[in-house]
Amino acid sequence: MEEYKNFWAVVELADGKPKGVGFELLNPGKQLATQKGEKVVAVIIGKNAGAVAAQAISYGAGEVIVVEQENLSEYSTDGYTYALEKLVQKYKPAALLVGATNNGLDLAPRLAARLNTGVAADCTGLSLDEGGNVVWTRLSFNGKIKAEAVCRNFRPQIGTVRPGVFKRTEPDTALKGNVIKENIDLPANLIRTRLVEKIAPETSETVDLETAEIIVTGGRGLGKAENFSIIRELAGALGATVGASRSAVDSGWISHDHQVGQTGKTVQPQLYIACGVSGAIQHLAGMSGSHNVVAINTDAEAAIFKITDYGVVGDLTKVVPELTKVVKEIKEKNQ
Amino acid sequence: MKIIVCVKQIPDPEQFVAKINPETKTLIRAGFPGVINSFDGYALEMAVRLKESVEGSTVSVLAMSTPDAKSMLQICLSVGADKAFLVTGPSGSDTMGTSLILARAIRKIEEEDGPFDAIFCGRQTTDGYTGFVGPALAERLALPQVTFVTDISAQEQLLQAKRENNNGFEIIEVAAPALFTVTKTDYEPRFPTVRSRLASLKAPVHNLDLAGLGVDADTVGLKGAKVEVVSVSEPEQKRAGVIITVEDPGEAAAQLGKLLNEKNLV
Repeated sequence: MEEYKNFWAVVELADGKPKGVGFELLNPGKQLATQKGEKVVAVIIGKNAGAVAAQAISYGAGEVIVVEQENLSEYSTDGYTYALEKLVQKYKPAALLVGATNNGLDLAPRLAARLNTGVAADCTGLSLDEGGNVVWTRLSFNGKIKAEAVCRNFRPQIGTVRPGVFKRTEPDTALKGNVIKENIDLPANLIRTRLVEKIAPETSETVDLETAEIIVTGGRGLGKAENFSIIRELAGALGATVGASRSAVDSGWISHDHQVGQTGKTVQPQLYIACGVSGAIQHLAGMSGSHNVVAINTDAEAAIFKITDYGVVGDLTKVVPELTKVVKEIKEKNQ
Repeated sequence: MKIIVCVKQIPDPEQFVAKINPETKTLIRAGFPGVINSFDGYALEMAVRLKESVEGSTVSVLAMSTPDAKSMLQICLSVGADKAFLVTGPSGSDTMGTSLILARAIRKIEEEDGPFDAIFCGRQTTDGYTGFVGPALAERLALPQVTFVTDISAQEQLLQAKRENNNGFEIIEVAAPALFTVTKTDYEPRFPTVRSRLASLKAPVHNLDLAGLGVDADTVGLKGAKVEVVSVSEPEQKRAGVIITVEDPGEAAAQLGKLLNEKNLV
């Protein structure tokens, strides 16, 4: 067990560009590593990995392991699991932090099963216990239950972290770190899936709810698709991302990539404004990590008001446009 | 195409109040009506649609649960599944233990029913919320996996899945046998008909004995959990809740704007 050292942050690439969560992981990774007198290491696999190494160092990586080769240029479960298995066997890290993106959630449990170790989900806090094990903190059931878990008897420890939970540090180009280039010898026919085609998101607007700082969500109370324009205007004034409840999506008013909740996205913005959202438990499950919640609803008894910091009982089609005006005024004054 | 869908019974989220057993530090699920995990419902519907598109296909369902999951499995039989299996697992299994039991159960079923071409799971459960069982199960069965699938089609033994990724999609091709985890689809699961529901009440659910699966009891259940829960608590709810009830929308918006501005949220 003692031979397992250093904290790895897996930095995922999408079309050669790093996903932000990878750099976010370097922050808590570095804190844990410093406590133990060890290193935080960024592991970057894929097209353009070498070029991203310097960026990882500026966000705090003391070392970067880079794998850049043709048969691992795009993510595949088989290829990346194999590559990480070999890297873990060679370098024996104490822990791996993996961003809870779709690819991260594809990889982490598969790798844990392969390495016969444990994997913790959705960590919102990381610390070390007396034995030097990582204590993975997780909030579940609308934040009602906080659980702490450790993986005592198996290495490496693996945990997934949602985008936006940790903040990346300010990049510092004066930071130094060494870059190790690795080549993984993949057995023939190892990769059993074939990426036929990538389909870009249908809408031109980017729906990055998971990392959004402000979200304005429309629910059933909107009444019709056209009323989403009211939501979009407020979102525009705030620089916010547009979210939707399941019933708004199911009514065909907006596409599913906007959906917040149990069968949609899980979000943790600084400010969440729920307009005409009743607050079904499935919706709360997706947004209870929000730091500040505002609700606008005609029904004073709506469940959403139980978890709001600020609520307005009123007709959203009247209140929201007024709020958009107020926000614009405040923004002008604050400038 | 021979398909098996892994389904989980979870406490009805509409009624569930999360409480912890202080000794085992696991959720108390008893006392709440059990329903199928919503993503497993989508997985079952996708499997049944695949079955309907390829002649001679069958769909089995498998749950690891307490004996009362029989009725959930019978509901699965009423919406297109042909055969149901229940393995009564030790409580407290983590995702690694659960995937091990499911893998052994599938191998056991295959001894009699022949090999499966496709294994479906929901992308995650809405009580445990990890999404780890599907990929871990694929690893234990040494199968390729495609996760976050929203649609699937088959041509002979070649399966083509539409996978959600980075707010867009990927089309991924894989030869059977393979494992798929299913996310929310564009369609909703079907409802049973009166006739299919009545028939399912008499349909058998095959019980699999854990001992007969050759699972080492030390590797599963609470004892075998690789990630050990060391503490659970119920953090204080922080919401103070200022509710504005003035009737004039302009005035309400002004009050709200002022509050948000004071907290630097605008």
